[in-house]
Amino acid sequence: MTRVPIRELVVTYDFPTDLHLGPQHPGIHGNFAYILKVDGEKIIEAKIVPGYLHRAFEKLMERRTWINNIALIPRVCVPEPDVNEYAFNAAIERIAGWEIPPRAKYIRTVVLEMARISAYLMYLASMGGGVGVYPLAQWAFGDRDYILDLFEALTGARVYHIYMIAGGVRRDIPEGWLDKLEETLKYLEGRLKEYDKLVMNSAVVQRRLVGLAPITPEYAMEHGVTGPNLRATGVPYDLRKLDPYAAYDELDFEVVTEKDGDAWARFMVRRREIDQSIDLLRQLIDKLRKDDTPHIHQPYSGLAFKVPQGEAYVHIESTKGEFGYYVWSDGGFNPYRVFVRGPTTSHAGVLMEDIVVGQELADFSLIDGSFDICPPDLDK
Amino acid sequence: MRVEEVIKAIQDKFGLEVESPYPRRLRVRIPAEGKSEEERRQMLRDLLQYAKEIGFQHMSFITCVDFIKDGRFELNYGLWSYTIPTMLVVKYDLDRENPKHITVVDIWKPAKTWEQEVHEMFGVEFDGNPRSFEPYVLEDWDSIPPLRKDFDPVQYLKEHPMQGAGYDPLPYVNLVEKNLEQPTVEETGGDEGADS
Amino acid sequence: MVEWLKLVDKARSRSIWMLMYCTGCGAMELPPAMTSRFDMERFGIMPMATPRQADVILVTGYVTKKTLKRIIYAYEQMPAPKWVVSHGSCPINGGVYWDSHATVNRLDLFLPVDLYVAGCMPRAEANMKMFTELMDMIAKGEARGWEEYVKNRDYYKENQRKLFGYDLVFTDGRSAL
Repeated sequence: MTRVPIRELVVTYDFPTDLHLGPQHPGIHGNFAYILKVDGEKIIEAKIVPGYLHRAFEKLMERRTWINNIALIPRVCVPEPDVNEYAFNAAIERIAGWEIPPRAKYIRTVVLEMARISAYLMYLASMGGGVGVYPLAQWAFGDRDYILDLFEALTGARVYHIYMIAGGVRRDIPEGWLDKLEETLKYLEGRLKEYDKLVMNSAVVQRRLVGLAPITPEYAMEHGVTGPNLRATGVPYDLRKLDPYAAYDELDFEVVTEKDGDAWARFMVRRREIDQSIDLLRQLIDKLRKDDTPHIHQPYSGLAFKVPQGEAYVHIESTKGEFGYYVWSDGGFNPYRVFVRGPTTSHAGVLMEDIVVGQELADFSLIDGSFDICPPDLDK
Repeated sequence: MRVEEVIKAIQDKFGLEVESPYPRRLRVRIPAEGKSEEERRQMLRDLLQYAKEIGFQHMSFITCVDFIKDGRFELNYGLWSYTIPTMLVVKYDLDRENPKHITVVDIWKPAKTWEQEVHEMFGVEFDGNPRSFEPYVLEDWDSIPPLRKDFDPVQYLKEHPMQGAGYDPLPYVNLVEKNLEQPTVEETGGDEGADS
Repeated sequence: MVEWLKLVDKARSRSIWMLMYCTGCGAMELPPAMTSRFDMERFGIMPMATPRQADVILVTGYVTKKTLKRIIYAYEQMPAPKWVVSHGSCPINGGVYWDSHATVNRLDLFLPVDLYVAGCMPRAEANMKMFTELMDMIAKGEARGWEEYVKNRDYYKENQRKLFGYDLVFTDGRSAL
């Protein structure tokens, strides 16, 4: 038996090499892939491979009636399905020229803010898992379940609600629900203090997130970045203030910004916006207790519903960024064309391919998580 | 700048009419008659460049609508300004039989991915953006671009029986396509949204 | 010998490692099942990063043609015994996307499925019932999906060839499985 020196047994790669960070990977949230060119530990080039979640929503929406579509579209953005329902219905109302009563606006805003809290808690959980602080992941998902219980009491389902229709909402709030909402908000405030203790005093989190992938406001706007990622660079641009929709012009809040534009700033913007959402929900509970207008514009039959000819674009501030629906109607029972503007198209397609050049391979999954790349609204 | 000044500036510089159907929404259409293809493309590029200078910092989308009865594709370029604030949609018509167009990726960076999507879904060729000719979300696609109005997904599933197995779509398809037997509000009684 | 195999089956049912691959929208109700409220880790179920050490692959939700290729590659890299659970109503007969040109309507023509869970999407309690049901089936020895795949290999491979238009092989010419 001959002895082979250990140096000859080592397999060598020619650098730079192609690395397929494929769809089945614990570091990527969702079913998404990248092809990276790496030189040792440094990334030289990146390219996205979308399409693993493509269901052709825009074609399916043309084949279903207006009210059938509301049962289909929550599946476009899985962590936060209510933004889809709101934007689609707001576009229909704009084309038809309907003015919805105040109670419907308040209930819709309550649903949107609750979805915002649950999506931000999911973001905290996934960032905790990425950095290695696993108690944060377990706690955040556990507390998010209380919000899903509230959704179940209001709409009947935990994740896909199908609650908003053109003209308002389907059913009014059940009795005692507002008290339960107040109790849950009080519980969440106590829990958020524990999260802060876990994250602020941890040297691991600070070393990993502070200074990771910083961006400036000009770089962000050139690459089409919207939402909390843009507010983390220092500019106070929030669509709830600039292009008000639902009940946001009657509520009192300030835009949350941070200065540095790195991963820590993006994390802190989202953490502070949970506090802002809790405050907005408290204001809305007060308004709902005093209001007694109807919860829908007029009852109608969903099957015989036609929208007059026209087109409208509605965009709202979701947790990922600017989420928009452009609806074209030709006066028939089905929409003529619906276009879904997902925030991840610009974040993943344009920003991620530029920002990871020069970063380390070990940080890649954390950069991907800190920008909140969510593939369903890219693939549609 | 304010919205009225934007309308006046575009009218003075390009001679185009800008309409404002809803608050904070502007629409402008690049006319098709009386101009050659080169002039229209140059006007589009000049308008997008000018919009970037007067305060529209964000490109929201590039999308396309298939008007099969008129025989045209209508491209929509959506630009949003945070400082004014308003949205500007620029509409451009293309011939449906020969949809060749020019890219704007050197003016607006996000066009890299939006043009790729429009190319895959409608077949519009963007000359000058090599990335837009690569496949986007479909793999091994062998039929016509799927979002065109003459692509029938049920026919496609019938030709690919392994993919469409398990559900017989015929009764539902007849109702949706021919819009027959839709009841009126008086017959159904207006039950959506009523308190029960 | 038979008693020893029964004991092995009981032991296998108490340490199922599932492959961490969220293939569709049904994966939204998996983290609540994994974390402290419904806690599947007390049953011995843990997520695993690589298919070489996983036992069960959960096809959560709809399957597009592009994802199905990767699911088959991951399934064939898993060592026996292995199980497939089809989660949601989309892999059963197409679900909400029955007329979509990008999704595959029936999963069990291409992979041997052991357990179906209906719902759109199935609740977290349905997930827990699915896990306990799978554990019972494994302990009794009723879940034998991988043996069916080996016995009827020609049938499954023919279906896959008709769907994709070519054979699924690794890039150096070896046939998958």
